Amino acid sequence: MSPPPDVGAERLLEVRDVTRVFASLIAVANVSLDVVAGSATGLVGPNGSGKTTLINVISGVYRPSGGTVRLRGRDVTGTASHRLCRLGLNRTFQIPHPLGDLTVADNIAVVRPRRGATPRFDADPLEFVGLAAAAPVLASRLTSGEQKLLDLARALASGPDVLLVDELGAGLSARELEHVASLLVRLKDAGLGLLVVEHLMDFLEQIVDDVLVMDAGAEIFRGTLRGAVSDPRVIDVYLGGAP
Amino acid sequence: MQLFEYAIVNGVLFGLFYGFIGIGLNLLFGVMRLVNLAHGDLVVFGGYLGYSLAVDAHINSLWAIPLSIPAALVFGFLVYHATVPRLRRAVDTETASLIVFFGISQVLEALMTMIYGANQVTLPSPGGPVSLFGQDYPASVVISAALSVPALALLYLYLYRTRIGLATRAVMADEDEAVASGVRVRRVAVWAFMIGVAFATTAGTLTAFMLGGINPTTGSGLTITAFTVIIIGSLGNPLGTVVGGLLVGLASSLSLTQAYATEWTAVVPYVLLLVVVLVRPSGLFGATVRRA
Amino acid sequence: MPEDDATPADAPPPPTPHDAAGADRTGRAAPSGRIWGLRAREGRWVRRVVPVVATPVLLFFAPHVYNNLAFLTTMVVYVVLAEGVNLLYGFTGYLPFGYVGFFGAGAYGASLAVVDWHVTGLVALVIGGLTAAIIGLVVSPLLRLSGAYFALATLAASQVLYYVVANEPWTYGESGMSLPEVFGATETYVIALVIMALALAVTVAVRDSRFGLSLRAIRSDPVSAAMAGIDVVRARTAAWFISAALAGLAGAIWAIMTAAFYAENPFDLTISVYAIVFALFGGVRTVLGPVIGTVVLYSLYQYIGISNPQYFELVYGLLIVGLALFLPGGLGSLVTGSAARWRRRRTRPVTGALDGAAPGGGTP
Repeated sequence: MSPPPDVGAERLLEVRDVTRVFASLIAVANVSLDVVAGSATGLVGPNGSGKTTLINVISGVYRPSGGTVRLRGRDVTGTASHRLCRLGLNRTFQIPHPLGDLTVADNIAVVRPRRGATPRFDADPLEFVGLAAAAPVLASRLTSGEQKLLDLARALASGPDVLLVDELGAGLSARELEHVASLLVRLKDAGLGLLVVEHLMDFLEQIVDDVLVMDAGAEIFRGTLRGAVSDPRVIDVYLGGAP
Repeated sequence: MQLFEYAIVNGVLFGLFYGFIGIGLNLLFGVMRLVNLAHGDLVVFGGYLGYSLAVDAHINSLWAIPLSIPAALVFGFLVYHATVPRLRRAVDTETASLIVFFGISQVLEALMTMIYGANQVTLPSPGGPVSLFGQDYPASVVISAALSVPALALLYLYLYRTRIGLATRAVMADEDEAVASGVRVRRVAVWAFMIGVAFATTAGTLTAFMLGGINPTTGSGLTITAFTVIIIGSLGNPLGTVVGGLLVGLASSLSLTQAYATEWTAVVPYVLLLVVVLVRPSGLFGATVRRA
Repeated sequence: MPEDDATPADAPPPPTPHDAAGADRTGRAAPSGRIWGLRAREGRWVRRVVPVVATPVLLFFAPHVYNNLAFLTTMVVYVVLAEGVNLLYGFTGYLPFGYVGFFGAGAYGASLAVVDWHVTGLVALVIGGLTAAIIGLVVSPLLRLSGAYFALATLAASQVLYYVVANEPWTYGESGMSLPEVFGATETYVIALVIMALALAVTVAVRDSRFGLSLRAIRSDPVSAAMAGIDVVRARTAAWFISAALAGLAGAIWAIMTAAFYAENPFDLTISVYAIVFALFGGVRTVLGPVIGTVVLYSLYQYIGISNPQYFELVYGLLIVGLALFLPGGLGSLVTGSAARWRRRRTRPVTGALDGAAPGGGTP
């Protein structure tokens, strides 16, 4: 378990020894990580290495089979998604999950804002991601890239401290990626803690402070991104199992 | 214990027949998530065909089985093309298909009432009682059960011994994967649909025998029983459907032997359905858990 | 969202039109243009008050046009049921084939209360609604299911309930019950109209409230809805109870009207079927759709269905197939759908969210 990068920083999310088993398949095995305010942690690994499962466990979609998750020091292991949202944790989805029958504006209006906490980032979420002009459009009519931005805007509307970003970059063009990366950096600067799942190394390089590399559900590397790309185990996993 | 043994054999005979009723529905639901609420009405339609042959043409009503197959295939082909492409584009295909096929079931019921009237019709028995394990059973019941076995075997051969059957099972397991590996889903779906309809109508004459008679509203109850059978046996699993059929048959038959339970026999499939969907929604043989 | 503390988003809104007024924090019910020359704010009130007030008032004078109170009362009862189906299916996507179970439970509870406990008519109505809500509680585990499983499981549950009521000596199921006269025929009709106004008010309140928006979000994507802070189970359960209680009230006034309880009548699956068909025909997720669907189709039923039920069955069977395939939003979508299409066309070439990426060309 590595110490947080900045000793004085506020630890927002503490994941300890989280395991998730499906039938007989161990999807996530004893993974621990911290997310610190104003920083971004990358979560890297080949397809099927358990990254999205870990995100799903942290965000309350699945219960963990073992281990604990703490949000600002409070034990939230196995807490339902809607509670986590109200406690200041939110996420985006690998495959966009728009509320398709609702307009873009309603996708934001439906979000229950947090109470009793000043949001770290309180700009208008649609303005922020650049979807303000699309407010009266049905979400199902957006392109999938726009739907991913809508997921991000909806997550931000809840005023989260911790944001889990699941492959926001996948399928976007180079120009779009740059736009999205700049958005995430601004969120980090606003004091949010980010956990970013991504395949694209160039994209990650612009955002993250450190990375955790997973393979077959377990951690195989922890440190800087630069260190990861020269680590023999990581190289082996990527050259041996990358698509 | 004679009564008990009788109930067991009777339950098995009915169980095979229930498997026959369920198998066509399973094919449609397994392949395309189409909820064919008209399944039972198609069965009854097949039964009326047998009735017409016996009463109007004075030939054995079992001829309805071979005669109905081409008609069922054509009907299935037409209904498939009229409904399925649109249904597949719906937001919630499952519920949309439920509504459309419910409409079709009402149309079929109305047509049957117009043609045959609302009253129960019965078929002449195909022979005298048959002795099994020392007890007598009506020939109609024994023949129906006996015919269910080759029908189930045929579907098993289709699914496990033909190329299109392999493709069908691939689509049932994971449609996206099947598409990715080059399966022509549309062809699989059309055939599954046509065969599903054909299984329904062929079961029709047997239904008139098994239930002692049919009327235009018999179908809706049959649809529920068929759903119970395939959910118990797990969707997409033909052997599971047979086991599901046997369980429903035995449970109904045994409830008849309990003095207190006789008036509850009709409700046995409903109770079984509720227990299964709440306790084990993936069915007895289900590997994949259904997103509930 | 300044008024958010007034009502929790996923608690049922109070079923009065008055309270619904404060519930519009979503802005969605505010069309930007003018309706009938009114400003948006007034237009919103027209959309709320007209259905709730004008519908019962118009129907109040219906006996002057067609003086058959039994027919009219039954029709109004069906409007309540169709609105109940609307709340469940339209807003949550759950199709309750066994909805009749709540209706039967309401009829049974009210009849028992009148016959055994000799309560007044209004108390009997409340007991009918409560009985249905209790049955709703008992079968609420079914809300774990979805799609066809849910539809068929509710149907099975309603049939089990019917067999319990019909076959047990202690339930009067075998003998049936005959009720003394509780209300006069006109009185019964007016009370049915009041129940209908309540159902319409609830639908308006749900449509225009955060609660309704939450339900539509859940229908769109339950996972996203949960991540947006909506308690999915609680919201669904709330819609389920409201819908059950409405059916219970409808069953209670129906039992009082018919002055007799025989289990096979109020538990007849045809009642579910008609309520669903009427709601789908008029259009779910609108307030007046189920009203129009019921008035048109039930009148048709009265005209051809009673003497030749199979012709009516044929007509509505074909209607369902045609509607579900070609007009999934029902008649109502002819009005609202064209407006939405117009709005979409006007705003289509917008976005540019992805830093100048052309709309539609954002992803490879």
